[in-house]
Amino acid sequence: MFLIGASSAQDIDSAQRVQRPQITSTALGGDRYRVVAPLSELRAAAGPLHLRGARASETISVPVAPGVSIESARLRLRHTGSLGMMDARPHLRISLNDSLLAQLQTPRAATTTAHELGFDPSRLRGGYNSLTFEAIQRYTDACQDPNAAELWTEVDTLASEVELVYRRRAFSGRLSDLDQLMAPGLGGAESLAVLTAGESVSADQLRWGALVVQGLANRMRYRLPEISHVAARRAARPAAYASPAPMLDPSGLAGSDVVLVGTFAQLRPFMAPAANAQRGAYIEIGPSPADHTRFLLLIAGETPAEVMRAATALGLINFPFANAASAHIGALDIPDGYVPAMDNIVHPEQTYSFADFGLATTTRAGLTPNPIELVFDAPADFWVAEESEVVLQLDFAYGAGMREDSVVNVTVNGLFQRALSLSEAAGGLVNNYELRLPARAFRPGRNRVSFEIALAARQTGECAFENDRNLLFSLRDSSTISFPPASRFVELPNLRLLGETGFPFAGANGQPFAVRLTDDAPETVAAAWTMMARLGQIHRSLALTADFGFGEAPRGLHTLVIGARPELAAAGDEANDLTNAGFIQVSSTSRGSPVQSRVDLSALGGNGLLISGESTRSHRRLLAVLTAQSPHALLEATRDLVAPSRWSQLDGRAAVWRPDADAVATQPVGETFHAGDLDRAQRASYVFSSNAVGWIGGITAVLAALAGGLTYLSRRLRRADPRQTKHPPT
Amino acid sequence: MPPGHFDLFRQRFLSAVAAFAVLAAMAAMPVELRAQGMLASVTIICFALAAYFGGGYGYIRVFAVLLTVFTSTRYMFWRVQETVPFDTPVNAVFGLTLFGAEIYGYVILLLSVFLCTDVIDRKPAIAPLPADRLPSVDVFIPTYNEDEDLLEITIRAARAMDYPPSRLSVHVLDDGGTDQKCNDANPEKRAAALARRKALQALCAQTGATYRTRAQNTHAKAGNINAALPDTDGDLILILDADHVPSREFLRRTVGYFVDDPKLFLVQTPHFFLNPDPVERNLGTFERMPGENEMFYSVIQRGLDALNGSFFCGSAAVLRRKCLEEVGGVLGDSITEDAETALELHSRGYRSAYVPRPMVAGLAPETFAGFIDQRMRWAQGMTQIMLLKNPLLKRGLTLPQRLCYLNSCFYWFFPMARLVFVLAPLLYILLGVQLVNANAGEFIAYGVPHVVGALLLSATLFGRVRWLFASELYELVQSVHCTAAIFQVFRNPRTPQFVVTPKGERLEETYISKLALPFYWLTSLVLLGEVVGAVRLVQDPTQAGMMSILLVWNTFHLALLLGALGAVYERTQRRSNPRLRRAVPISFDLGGTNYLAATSDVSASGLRFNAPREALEELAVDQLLVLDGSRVGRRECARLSVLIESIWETPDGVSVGASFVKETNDQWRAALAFAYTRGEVWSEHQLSRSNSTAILNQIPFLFGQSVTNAVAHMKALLRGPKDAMEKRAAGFGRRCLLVLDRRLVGTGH
Repeated sequence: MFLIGASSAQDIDSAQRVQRPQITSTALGGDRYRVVAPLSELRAAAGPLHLRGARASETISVPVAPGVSIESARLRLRHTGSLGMMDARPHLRISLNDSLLAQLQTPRAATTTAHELGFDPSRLRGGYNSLTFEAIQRYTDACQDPNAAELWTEVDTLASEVELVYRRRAFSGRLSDLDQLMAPGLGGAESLAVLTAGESVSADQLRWGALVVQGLANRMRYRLPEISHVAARRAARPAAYASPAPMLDPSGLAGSDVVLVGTFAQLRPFMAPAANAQRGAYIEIGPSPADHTRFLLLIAGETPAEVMRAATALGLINFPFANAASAHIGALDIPDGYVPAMDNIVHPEQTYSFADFGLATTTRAGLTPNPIELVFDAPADFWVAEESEVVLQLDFAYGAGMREDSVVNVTVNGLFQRALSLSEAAGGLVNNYELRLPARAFRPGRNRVSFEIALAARQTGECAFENDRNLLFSLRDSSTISFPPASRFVELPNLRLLGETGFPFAGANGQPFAVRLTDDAPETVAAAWTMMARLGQIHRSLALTADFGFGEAPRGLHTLVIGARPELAAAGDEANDLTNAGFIQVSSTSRGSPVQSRVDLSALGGNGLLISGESTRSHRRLLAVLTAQSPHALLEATRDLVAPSRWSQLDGRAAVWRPDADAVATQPVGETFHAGDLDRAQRASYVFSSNAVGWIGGITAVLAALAGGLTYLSRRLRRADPRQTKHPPT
Repeated sequence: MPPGHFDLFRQRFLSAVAAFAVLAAMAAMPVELRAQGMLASVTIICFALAAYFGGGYGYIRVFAVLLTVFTSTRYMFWRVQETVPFDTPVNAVFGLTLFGAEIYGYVILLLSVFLCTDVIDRKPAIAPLPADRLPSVDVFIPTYNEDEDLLEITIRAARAMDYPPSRLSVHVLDDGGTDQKCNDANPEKRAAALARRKALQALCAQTGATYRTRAQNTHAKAGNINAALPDTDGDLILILDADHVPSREFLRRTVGYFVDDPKLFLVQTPHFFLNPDPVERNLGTFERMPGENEMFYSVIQRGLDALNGSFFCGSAAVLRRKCLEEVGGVLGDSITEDAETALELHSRGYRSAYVPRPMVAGLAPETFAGFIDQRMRWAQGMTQIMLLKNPLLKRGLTLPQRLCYLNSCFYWFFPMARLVFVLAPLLYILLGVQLVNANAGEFIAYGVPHVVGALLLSATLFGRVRWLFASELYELVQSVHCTAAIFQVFRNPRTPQFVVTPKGERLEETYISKLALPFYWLTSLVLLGEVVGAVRLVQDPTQAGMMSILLVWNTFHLALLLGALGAVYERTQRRSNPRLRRAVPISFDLGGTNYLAATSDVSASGLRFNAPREALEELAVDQLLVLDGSRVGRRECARLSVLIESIWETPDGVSVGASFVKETNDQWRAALAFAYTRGEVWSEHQLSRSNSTAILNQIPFLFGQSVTNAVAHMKALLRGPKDAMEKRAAGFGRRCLLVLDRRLVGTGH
C-alpha cells in the first residue's frame, strides 16, 4: 500500500549518514601540505583487503604528483588475522615499489590491530607507486592445506591510510608536462580556478571554460579538482616573478591552479607586455601569480574561433605539445564527426583485438590467480536484438599436468556466461577458440569481461607436495572480440545511464546537446563546469558538440539546465515545470512494505537535485535539471554529486542528496520515452516486447475481426452460390 | 457457367489472400522470447477453448483456422530468420532437408485451410422421371483378374439400378481374356485366359450384361475403357470397378446434374468400403475408427467441389461421353489416368460435381502388399501429373483449380516428408548433427504452438473423419515404399506401370507381410535413438532441454512404428464378402408360427439375425428359410431365400447365420436389394464410427491397439525360428523312433 503525503525537501530521507573517509589535504603553512589518503580511496575494489591462503598478495597503487617534494611518509595500518592460525609464523610483508617496507606479525585478535610505519619518503616517486601487501599464513607446522579456511588476513582499508607531508616545488613545467601535472596523484591539482574577463560570462566563455576543465579533468582520470569560476581582475602591481599573466590580481587564487581563457582583447590587460605581440590560437603555461608552486594556463586567441581551437587542443590528450612554455596552435584538422573520446568505446559490427583495449598478453599462475579482465565501453545507446551474439576468438595456452577440472570461467559484468575446460593432460595451445556470448549480457557503458582462472593441481591435500608451477594460463592479446550489428536506441530518462556513460551529455557519441545556465553567477558557472568535467571523465571525451548558453535551450536537443531553484524560470517554463512535479520517494516500513511520499521541491534547503524527463518542447529529447536552493548551494551540491560515492548511486529519473550524508535518494522511473534511430520494424518489435499483453490483445482482436468478416463472407457466398443448399455444411 | 460463379471463386480466393496477408504481416513481427512465450501460452489456451466450444462450420471454426495459420506462419518465419544452420556443410544439408519437409507441411496446411475450411453442400438433383428425358447410360465394369463371384454381384447390382432398362446398358470390359492373353506363349496362361473369357461370357449371358474384350492389353484400364467407347453410344458412362457394387439409387441421384448443366463432365461419388483396409484390420480399429479415405471423400472432395476442382477417382463416377471423346477418351500419360483426364477436361472449361453420399460399396485391398501397391500407384501417378502436366501452369484452369490440383498432387510428397521427420531427431541424437539453430526455450515458444495448432487444425477440419495421429500412422506405413516409388518417377516420369490392385483376396492364416523389413530397420534405429538419447540426457545436462524435446519427438515416432509393425502383421480374413452391421426388422414363418426377428449384420453373401428363443426348436442348420425383408423398402425383399449355416443360443434368444440362396434371378434381386438398397445404410455406418470415440480416448485406444499388435508381431517373429527348429527336431525325433522301432522289430521286441 502506498501512502502519499506531502513533505518538504528538507525531509528527504537519507538512510545512511555514514561519513566515508576521503582524501584530505591540509595546508601546513608556506608551501607545505599534509595529505591523508585512506587505502579505500586508492583501491578500485570496495570493502576490506582480504588475503586468503598460505600465500596471498594484493597491490595498491599510490599515485604521487610529480611536482612535490615529500618530506615525510607514514603508513597507518589496521589489520587482523584469523584466530585459527598459529602464533608466531604468520606475518604480513609490506613492500613499496617491490622492495621491502616492513614485516608485521599478523595479529590474531577479535579486532584489528593498528600499526604506524614511517618510511623514507625518497622511496616514493612521482607517478604510480605500488604498495604490496603479502600475507604468509600458517595454521600448523606440519603439512597444511594451502587453501584452508583459517588462512586469512584482513586489512581495514577505511581505517588504514597513507599520510604524506610534502612541499610543493616552484612551478617549472612545460606544456609537454601537462599530463604529469594533471596526473591523479597525491599532492596534485586539487583546486582549479577558471578565470574569464569581464563581469558577466558569455556563452563563448562558458564553452571555453567547459572544454578546458574537461581537458584537464580527463587527464586526472577519476579524480576531480575543486573547480571554481573567478572574474579576472587586474592587479595593481605585477607579480614578483615571471608568469603568463603577471598583471592578474592574485587575491582568492592562492592554493589553486589557474586557467585564464579568453580573447587577446579580453586578456591583454593581464598578460605581460611582451605577450602583446602574440597572435593566433595560443597556449602558455607558467607559475601562477598567486602561488609560484601552482601553474597558470593561458588559453587565448584573436577570435573566439581561435580561442576555441586552443581550448580544443588542450583537450586532446595526445596533442603533441612541444617542450616549451607556450605554443601557437595552427590549423586543427578535426574531421567532421570525430569524437575525441579516449576510452575504449566499441562500435557495432567491428572486431577488436584484446590489445586494442590495452590488454597485453597475460600469464597467470597458481591455484586462484587474479582474473584477466577485458574492459571496454559500449555506447550508451547500444541496442542489440535479443538473439545477437558477441563472439570471442581466443588464443590461449595452459600448462600440462593440471587436474581435469581446471577451468576458466568467463563472466560478463559479474555474471557467469561460459567456461573453458582446460582438460588436456599435456597442456594446450589453442588458437581461434570461439566463444559466443549473448549480446544482451553487455550493457551500455562500462563492460567487464573477466576470465576467472581456477586451476587445480593433481596432488592436493595437507601433506601432499603440491606442484603449482605447472598451473599456468596465458591469454594472448591477439584474441579478438567481435560485436554484432546494433542500433542506437535507449529508454529515457535514466540517471543510471547518465552516471555510467554520461549519456546524453558526455558528447562521446558525437550527438549535439545543449547546456543552459540560468545565470552567470560564479558559483553557477563553476557548478556547470564541474558537471561537464565529471561527464567528460567517463569516456575522457570533449563536449565539442555542446551548445552552451544562458536561458532557454533551442528545440531539438537534449538539454542540461543548471541553476539555482529560484532562477529556473530563466531557462524556460519546462525546467520549472519539471522541478515542480515533485519527487516521489519510496521507502520501506519496518514490515518491509513500500511507502511512497511526495516531496515538494519548491524549497530545496541544503539538498541538491538532479531531475530529468522528456522535454515538452522537443519530442523524444531529454531535459535534465541540476539545481539547489542557491548558487552557493548549487556549487557545493555539484561538488558532492561528482564524488564517486554519490555519483555511483544515480538512478531512476531524479536524485536528491544532502551534503552531510553519503546516500542519494532516487525516484524510480515513471513515464519513459525512447531516443534513437531504430527502424520501424525494430521499434515495433521493441514496443511489442515491452508491452506483450497489449500486443497479444491486438493480435487476438485482429484474428477475431478477421474471423467475423470471413464467416460473414462465407455465409454470403453460400447464399449466392446456386449449387449450394442454404444451410451450413454438416 | 451459372452466372456469378467466377465471381464467387474470385471473392473466395481474394478474401483468403487478404486474410493471409494480414496474418503474415502480424506473424513476421520478431519479439523477444519472453513475449513469444506469453503468446505461446495464450495461443494454446485459445486452441483448447476452440476445441472445446467449436464444432460445425461457424465462427469458432474460422477463428481456430486463422489462429493456426497465424501460429504456423510465425513458426515458419522464425525458422527462416533464425534457425537454419549454415555453420558446417553437414548441418546445412540436413538442416535444409528438414526445413524443406517443414515447408511441405506448411504448404499443405495452407492448401487444406483454403480448401476445407468451408466446403460445399450441394443441392440434390434427382433425375427427372420421364424416360424420354433421361440420358442413356452405359455402365462400364473393367475387369482384369477379379473373382467371378465378385463380378457377378457388381453386374447384377448394376442391372438392378433404379433406371429405365431401355436407357441402361451394362458392359463387362474384360482385360483378362483379351486376344493377346488368349494367345499367350505360355500354355498355362493361355488356358487361364481362355477359361476366364468363357466364364465371363457365360456370366454376362446369364445376367444380361454385354461382354467385351479387345485385342491388346495396351494402356491398362484407360485403354480398356477407350476400346469400348466406339462400340457403345450411351450419353453417359458410369464406371465401376469390379468390386464396386452400386446401390439402386445411384443413377437417380447423379444423372440429374448432367440434365441441369450441359457443361458438366463428371459426377463423382465416394468410395465406401465394406471391409477394413489392412491397417484397420491388423490393428483392430475398423469398428471404431473412421476409414482412411473418409477424410478425402467427406471433406476434401467437397472442398474441391466448391472450387470446381473435384476430380475423377476412377470408379463410382459418371462421365459425359461427349466430353470424354473430345479429349480422346481416358488419358494414359500417367498411371492415375482418372485424375489426369479430369485435369484435361477442367482445363477445357468443363465442370465437375461431387455428390458426397456413398452409393457404391467396394472392397479395400486386403493385404498390406496390395494396399502399398495401390498407394504407390497413386503416389507415382500424381507425381507424374505434377511433372508432366504441371497444373500450376496449365492453360485453361482457374487459379482456384490450380490450387486444387496442386493440393491433390503435392499431397503425395508426404512419404518423403514423413521419413525426414522420423530420421531428423536421430541425426542429432546419434550423430550430433545440428539441424536447427535454436535452444529448447525457443523451440518450446515457437514450435509447441505450431504443433498444437496443426493438431487442432486437423481436428477442426477433419475431426469427425480422421482420428488424431491416424494421419501420421498411415503416412508412416506408406513412407518407405512410396518414397522409393516417387524417386523412380523423378528419375523417369514415364516409367511407372499400371498395377492392378488385388481385391477379394482371402487371408487363410496370419503371417508377417513381406514388406515388413524396412520397419524393422526404422524401429531399431528409433529404439537406438531412445537409448542413446537417454544416456546423453543424463551425461550432458547442458543439452538436456533440446535432448528432452527430441526424445519426446523420437518416442512419438516409436509409438507410430509400433502401429506400423502391427499393421504389417497380417491377420486372417476368411470372408471375401465383408459384413456390415445393420439392424433391419425381418420376419419368417416356421411351423405355422410367424416369428419377428432383426438382422445384426448383412453382406452380399448372407446375413446374421437374432430370433426369439421359441424359434430354436424349429430352426436347424442347412435348413432353407424364406425371410420377409420388405421392411427395407423393397418389395422384392419380401421373399428372401436363405440357407441356415449356424445357430447359437444367446441370452436374448437365438443368433442365426445364413447365406443367401441365389439360384434364380429373383433370388439374386432380392438378395442384392436387401444388401445394397440405399446409401443411407453406409452413411449411417460412417456416422457411427465418426461419433464413436471421444477425442481424448482416441489416442489411448490407438496406442493400445498398436502395442498389442506389435507385440503379437514380435512374438510371431521370434516364434518363426523356434517353430522351424521344433519342426526339425520333431522330424529328427520321428526318424529316431522309426530306426529304433525297426531295430526293436528286428530284435523281436
